Amino acid sequence: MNVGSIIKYYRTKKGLTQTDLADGICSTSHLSKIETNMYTANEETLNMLLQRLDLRLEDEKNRMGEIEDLLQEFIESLFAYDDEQIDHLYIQISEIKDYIETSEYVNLYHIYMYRYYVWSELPEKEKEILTILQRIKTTFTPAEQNLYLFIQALNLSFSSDYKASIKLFKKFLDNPLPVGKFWTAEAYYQLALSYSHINQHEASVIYAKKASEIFETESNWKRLIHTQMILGICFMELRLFTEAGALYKPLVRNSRIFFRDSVYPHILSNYARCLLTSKEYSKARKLMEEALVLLGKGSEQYMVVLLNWLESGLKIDLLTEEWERNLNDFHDYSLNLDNKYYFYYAVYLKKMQFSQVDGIKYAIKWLYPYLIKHSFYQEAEELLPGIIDYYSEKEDHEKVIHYYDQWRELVKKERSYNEEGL
Amino acid sequence: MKKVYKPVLTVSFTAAILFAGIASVPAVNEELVEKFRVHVEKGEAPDSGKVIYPPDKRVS
Repeated sequence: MNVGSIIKYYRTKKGLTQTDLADGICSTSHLSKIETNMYTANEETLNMLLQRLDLRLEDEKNRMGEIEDLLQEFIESLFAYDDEQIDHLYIQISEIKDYIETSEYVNLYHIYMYRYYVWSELPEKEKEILTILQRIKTTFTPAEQNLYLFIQALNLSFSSDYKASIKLFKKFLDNPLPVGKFWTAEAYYQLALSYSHINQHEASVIYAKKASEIFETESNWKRLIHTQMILGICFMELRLFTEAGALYKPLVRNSRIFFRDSVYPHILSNYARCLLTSKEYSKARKLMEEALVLLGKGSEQYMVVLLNWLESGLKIDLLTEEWERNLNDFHDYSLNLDNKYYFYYAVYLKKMQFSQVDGIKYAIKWLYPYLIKHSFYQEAEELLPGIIDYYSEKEDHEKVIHYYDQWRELVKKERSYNEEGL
Repeated sequence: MKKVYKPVLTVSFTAAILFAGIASVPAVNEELVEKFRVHVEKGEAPDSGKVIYPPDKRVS
């Protein structure tokens, strides 16, 4: 315990100068050294100083214990995505911020606060804490250094730099220092997420399973559901439809019971996408229609579901008036969101509605290059059979070879990605 | 709604692959590999395409 810092904290709070406090007990320079923790005072001097400040060493020790518990509870709530408790604890911590800053928990406090500001999406506060962390990182203990590594990895993942994030999370996990199971579980979870984002789904499955085990033991239900969402996406991408089916049935049920207002429609949407991939159109459309009712119109998630719904309609030739109305809405929302991905799909579908040839021509010129540029390889792969058929019909063999080469590269890329991740 | 006309594409994808497989030299196209080494421009594309990833921040 940094008694010196505590003495300084209370002295300043009471408006006393060092001369006032030291008067008759020790010299001012001696007190100055005690306050900066450069010097440990003997018990007698310490007791006299504390007495003058109306403090008892025992009470301060208890208070430190309470701070440790409070910070621990705060970070655990952040890991459990316990929104209400996070806000409640944040207020409690903010009220004693000055005191914590004088204690040995000052570094942990800043590391946890950074995590909090990232979670709350408060970029200004985030920057502020990051500057402080940069300044104090030389004072970190080895355990704190490792936690700082975790925070940096998380930051990279949030800025979509998944490869760099993977590197740091692995470095974090390599460190043998005990940091608590929930840190480890979260690192596995983040690795699963990052690998999935860069299309390395096999590696993602491995880390998602590791994370699941710990979340289950720790009864972190929210994160367990999140992990299963990633697994569902991976199984679909790897065409493991039996595994996906076995996963989605309880996942849909549990999320409906416990997370109806949050991730339930997202899970319905992902399950529907999986069913579409395995060509179970009618079942998929039912799920998507349920999700669309639950989601806010025009939101990102709404757009994902609507796009899948529109595409499935086109595939099974169900181009009803409702389909056309929804396509117009989709087009308008894509402009509102200022999102090229949805916009290119909207125009592509509009063209496909009347002429497959026009649709394919548009895909060749705009949609396909866009998907490749932004690493949407799965979607790009879906377009290729149509494009190759189009050029075959035109007997343009050079283009057929060109796009077949691209198809082969995409498949190869997927394989090499997965090997790289394992 | 207008009647939709869709031309029937006679050559199947499999046939196209077979044709291309015969006609092309099955070597790695370095130019394409390089072309696929893309850099994502932030804010231009959604995170996840046609699937929804779990939330990682406060859900407002």
